[in-house]
Amino acid sequence: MSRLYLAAATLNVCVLVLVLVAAFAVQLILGELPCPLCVMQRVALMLVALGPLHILLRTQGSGVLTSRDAAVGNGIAILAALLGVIASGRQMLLHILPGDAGFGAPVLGLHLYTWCLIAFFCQIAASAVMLLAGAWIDDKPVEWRATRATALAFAAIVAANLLSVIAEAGLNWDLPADPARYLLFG
Amino acid sequence: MVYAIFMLLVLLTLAAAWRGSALELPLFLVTAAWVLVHLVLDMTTPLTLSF
Repeated sequence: MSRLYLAAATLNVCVLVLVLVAAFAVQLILGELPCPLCVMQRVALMLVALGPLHILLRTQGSGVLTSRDAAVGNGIAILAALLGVIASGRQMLLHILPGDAGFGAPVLGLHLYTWCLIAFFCQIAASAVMLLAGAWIDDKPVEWRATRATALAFAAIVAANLLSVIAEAGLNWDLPADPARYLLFG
Repeated sequence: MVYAIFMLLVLLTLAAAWRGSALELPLFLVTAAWVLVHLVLDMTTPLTLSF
């Protein structure tokens, strides 16, 4: 059961990393610079990933998956997903009036912030299922080799976003509401 | 710059988790609280964070 649990936590981080990569691809390929609320949603996605990563890294350190680590990790993910719901819900409400074209190009008929809201609700549901599955965790030693690669992939996408947002904001404390260029480069 | 600090805090929290440091949860909670305050300030003032 522990291996299945760790596989689910790894899958959770990988999905979040893929969402962040997709958002980054839209920024780089389509040239759509993220607005302040878009960046806040990215930050919330990163904070969510710290939950399953807590489970993976604690298990790697002790060699045993415990119910306590699973509960803390899922608590982190749920709290962070609620922040994401606030950010993406806020952005949806800004564009809810009839005739408003929304911000950015829609993907499969929905804007990225709408997809984000759906993703955060799915994360809350998934974390709740993981909390329930904690009832079947056994305290046997377990080895999981994917932890290091998963954590490094996550660190890489966070670092890339960090550099990107510095380039976008320049030396300003906040981003412009509707960014059109990378302010660091004039 | 504030968003870069948020992301830096995420990286620091990851590093703390990797090292098994007791700072992991306090770092996460401080970051989450700051993000919440940032969002609430946006909702209670004229559009600054839009769009």
